[in-house]
Amino acid sequence: MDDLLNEFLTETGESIDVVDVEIVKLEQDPSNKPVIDNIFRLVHTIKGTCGFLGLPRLESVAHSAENVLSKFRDGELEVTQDSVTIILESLDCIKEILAAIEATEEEPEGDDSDLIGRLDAIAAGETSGASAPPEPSEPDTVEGEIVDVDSGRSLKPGEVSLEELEAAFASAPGPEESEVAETPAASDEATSGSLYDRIGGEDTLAVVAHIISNKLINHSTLSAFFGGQDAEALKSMFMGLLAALYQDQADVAESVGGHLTNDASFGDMQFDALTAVVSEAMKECQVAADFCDEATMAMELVRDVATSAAQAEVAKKAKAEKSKASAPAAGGDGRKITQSIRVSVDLLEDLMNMVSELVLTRNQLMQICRNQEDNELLVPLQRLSQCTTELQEGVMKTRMQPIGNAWAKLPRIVRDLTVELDKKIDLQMLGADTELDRQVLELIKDPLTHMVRNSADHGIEMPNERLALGKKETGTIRLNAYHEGGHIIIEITDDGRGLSASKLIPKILEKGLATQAELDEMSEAQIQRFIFHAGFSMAAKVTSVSGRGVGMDVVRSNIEKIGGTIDMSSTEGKGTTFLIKIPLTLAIVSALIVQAQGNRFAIPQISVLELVRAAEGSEYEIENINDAPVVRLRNRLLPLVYLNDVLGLKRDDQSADSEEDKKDDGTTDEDFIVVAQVGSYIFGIVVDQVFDTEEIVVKPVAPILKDLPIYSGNTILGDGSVIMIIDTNGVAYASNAGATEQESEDQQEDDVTEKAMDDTDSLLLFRAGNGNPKAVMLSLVARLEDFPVEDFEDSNGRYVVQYRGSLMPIVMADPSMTLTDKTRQPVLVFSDGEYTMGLAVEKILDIVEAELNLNLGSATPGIVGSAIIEDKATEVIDVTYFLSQAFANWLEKRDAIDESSTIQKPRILLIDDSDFFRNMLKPLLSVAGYQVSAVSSAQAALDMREAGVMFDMIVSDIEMPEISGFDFAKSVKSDPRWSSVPLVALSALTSERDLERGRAVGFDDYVAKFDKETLLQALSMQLKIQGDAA
Amino acid sequence: MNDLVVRDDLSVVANGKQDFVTIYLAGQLLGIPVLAVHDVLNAQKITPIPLAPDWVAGVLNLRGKIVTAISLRRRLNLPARKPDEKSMSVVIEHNDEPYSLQIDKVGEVLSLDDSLFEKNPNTLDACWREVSRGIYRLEDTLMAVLDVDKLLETTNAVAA
Repeated sequence: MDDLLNEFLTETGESIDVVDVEIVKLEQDPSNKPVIDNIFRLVHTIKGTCGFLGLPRLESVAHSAENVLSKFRDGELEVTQDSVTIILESLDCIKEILAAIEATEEEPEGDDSDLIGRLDAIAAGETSGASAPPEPSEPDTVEGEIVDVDSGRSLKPGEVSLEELEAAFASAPGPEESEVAETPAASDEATSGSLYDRIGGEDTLAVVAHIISNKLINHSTLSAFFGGQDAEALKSMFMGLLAALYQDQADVAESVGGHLTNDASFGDMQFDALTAVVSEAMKECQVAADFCDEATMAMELVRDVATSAAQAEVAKKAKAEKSKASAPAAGGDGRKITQSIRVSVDLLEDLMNMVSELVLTRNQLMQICRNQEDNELLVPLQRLSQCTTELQEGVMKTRMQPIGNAWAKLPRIVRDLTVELDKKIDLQMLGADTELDRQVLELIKDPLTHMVRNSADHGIEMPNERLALGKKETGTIRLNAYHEGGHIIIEITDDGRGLSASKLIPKILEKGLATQAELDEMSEAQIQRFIFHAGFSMAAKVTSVSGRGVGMDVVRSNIEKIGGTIDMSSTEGKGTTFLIKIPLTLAIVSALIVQAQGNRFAIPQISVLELVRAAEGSEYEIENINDAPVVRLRNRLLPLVYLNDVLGLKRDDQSADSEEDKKDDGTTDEDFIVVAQVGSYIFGIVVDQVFDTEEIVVKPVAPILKDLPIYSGNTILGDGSVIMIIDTNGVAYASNAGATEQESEDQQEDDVTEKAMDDTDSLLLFRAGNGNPKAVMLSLVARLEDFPVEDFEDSNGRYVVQYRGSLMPIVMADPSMTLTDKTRQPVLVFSDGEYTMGLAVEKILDIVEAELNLNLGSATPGIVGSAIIEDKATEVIDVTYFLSQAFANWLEKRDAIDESSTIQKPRILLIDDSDFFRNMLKPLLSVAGYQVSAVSSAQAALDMREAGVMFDMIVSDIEMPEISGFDFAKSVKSDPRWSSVPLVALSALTSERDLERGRAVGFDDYVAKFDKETLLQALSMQLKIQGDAA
Repeated sequence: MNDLVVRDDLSVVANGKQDFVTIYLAGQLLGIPVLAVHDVLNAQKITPIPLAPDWVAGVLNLRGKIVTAISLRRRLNLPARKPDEKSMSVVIEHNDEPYSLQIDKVGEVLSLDDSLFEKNPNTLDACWREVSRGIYRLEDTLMAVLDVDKLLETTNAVAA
């Protein structure tokens, strides 16, 4: 493509982008004078350049837009939404035409009269008829400035000198003027006129100039100075020069003569040759010999200026300044003084690749050198290393662009959306100057746009809706970008309606992404994450903006493609925050080199959270639950994956049951755990050895290995060996623990609540006594321990174990069982406040997620009932029983037992801030035939009331943070919705005064906390009372 | 008739002769069109790739390029090489991606007349028939012509 056209397209594209942003700014602040001026200037430049390049269609659109803008600028027209919309429309039209020009190098056919008509109507709207004057005059001036009068063709770069000529003519009495004078002069005798007339006037000069220019281009010595110029340009130049000389216009002649050539080596010799050429040309034109000599003599007038290099320099400078001022027409010369250059992206990519290779080679050299002491190469190598590092940084920098570039289009998009959707949205952009690799930038541009669009379309509510919710009428979408540890974090936050899990569920079911049972087990956050699944649309209906279901999954895959991660958190009614974490650059990443079964692998640092060294007897020890390895990390169980297993290599310790790692060489007895994060799922990858971190260049794997999700690429290390790069996503997937099945740390807390409200629970299965497996709710278990049998001590006929500095009583899970005859005894540790007890079991079997549907009550002490878990009848143990066994004072036994009515499951709302009690009472109550909903705070209960949930009875704790049971009772009784629901207090405070107080605020009954029989009795009594009343 | 078809396949040169690099694999002589061969390497350090198809021996570093190594023995269902036997490899390119074929030994470059060419005997093992373009009758032995593209195309199919 023509360089000039190319330049024009790039420049105009940039201008249009700026105008897009500025226009939106203008709409918000119509009186902003600098903004209007800026827009006007840009559009004017576009228009001017179009005319210059001969693009009439583009020019006419830009022109009409400019008209409207000039009215804005002069204050004749008010900036309204309508007018801005049309201006933006015309910008879109310009963009379209530009795109077509880029593709075909020709202006596309098309009719813009409608758009132009509307633009003109707006321009005319306020001041009718006023549109006429600027319209015809503008294009003319533009044409006049840039089109060569003689040739009628447009200028090319490098012909700036011509323009200079024109200016010279314009400033002095030029040919036109002399033509007027010529007529009377010509009527005189030829001899008496000026040399100009005597030679034969303009006609002859034109021929002479033509001959001169032809001669010069082919001249043996002079072609070096003039050969590079266009014949037409030369002709015009000499035409001007000769005309000025022969009309005795010395100053004009000098000015033109000074521009004959800019080459400093143009000396007397050359000038003589030039004079000879002129004289020859004259002769050829049959100019009389006398005149010819005279004319040649006249050339001497400009000898000095033409040959003076200093003069040429001055002229050049002046020209450069001028060309700078008239930027669009300036062409080549103007660029000499600019401080930046355009470099093709391909070139940069090549450079980057070469530098990456250089870095690798450098690393290899360094590695070799490190192994050899006293190497004379060391010093030069160090220098090479430093240069390489600097070069790498430099090249990286050339690729860095502010993220604002990716955002530039967003204000416009949001603005269009606000008009289209009739919403009010404020787009805030923070950290726009945060820089990142342009390759990354390109890749996140679309996802970002999509997400902002999503937020505007579905996130932000309609203004009246917002007002009704007590929010500000104008919604806010905030983009924030910042650096954090070698990564760029981009936050996209809106204060809209947030994601509603309840609305997502039918969609999920409809798409078959999960079953109802699976959904029941999930927390709200997990359900929300379904928006990242393919084909999932957040929009209730498809709008023109979004909702076609090609959304967040594409965003996620795009971001993951560049090694980034995306996470979200959303509160219904409050808004949504997306968190994108992406690497600064793709080319070189830092990776942890690990070893598994003698093979080395690289794990990208971005997914590594920390490293844990696990060894027998150390603080961290790998334990197994039914062969599922876990490690305790800061009071949490971290699921583990053996890299050897995932890769199908043999694990070091063949006996998975015992945790004793027996290394082949027997030297170490330790493993390293790479704690990795995939989305919000945190897990540990167990590797045999960890080496150091290395900067690696990620190279794609061969196509035949593409379908191995466990590798994200391969690379060459400093020592020249090739190693595979592990994709932690693939590891998580391969270990069959997808991110959506697990929760992140901070969601765990909420999750306990969620779990309690759901009907399914995590159950720990174990074996003790008779054949049936037993189960206990995992949330009740504080820890799993494995004590050596010799640690068990007999104290008062009971077993105790020294545990964390105190004695812990041990109770057998089944009366018939005894301590194991093996060396270690598995123990479940239960803890409630100061009480900690151990439950000795025969074997821990598994952890399962199951619906705890107790179908049989049990008369056996210590057993709540039986349930079918994993197709086996399983006894669910009553932890309270064992606690009371271990601590006589923990529970005061009462005798009264009454069968509760189980005809139709009455609904009970259980409020207790203690997880332990909620988890303990829930199965207890459900086995007694109640349908239990458990919440952790009075506020959550009141929220349920707001949601319109009804219960047959409410059981509430008294001692709770924020809203106490007493206050809760007051508010329940004061609202008609729940005022008739029986209210039972459950408290450790059982003094008479407390009871009185409880009754006073509206509790129908008051039960001591650890008294399950009384509680059941009280509940059934309350229901009966209510039934009688009804 | 058959000869004609084969000629098309081999992008025949006018004189009716083809140049082949001969390689030995478990005693069998195989030929690869000489223009397809980029490099001949001695034994290299190969990084194995767990979970990859078993005939993918691993990856190796060839002058800063990562090359996928294919165990030709395993690919052609031949018994594995004895540990003490030496190995060489031939680097070829398929779809712009370099692959190194692990073989026992590289022989010489032979210029063979088309008249010596015959199509695969019907009794040939299916796996071989797929990757062999045909057989050359040499004086003392037979040489199967390895179809490099087929070899790796099918590997693609297998992998996918």
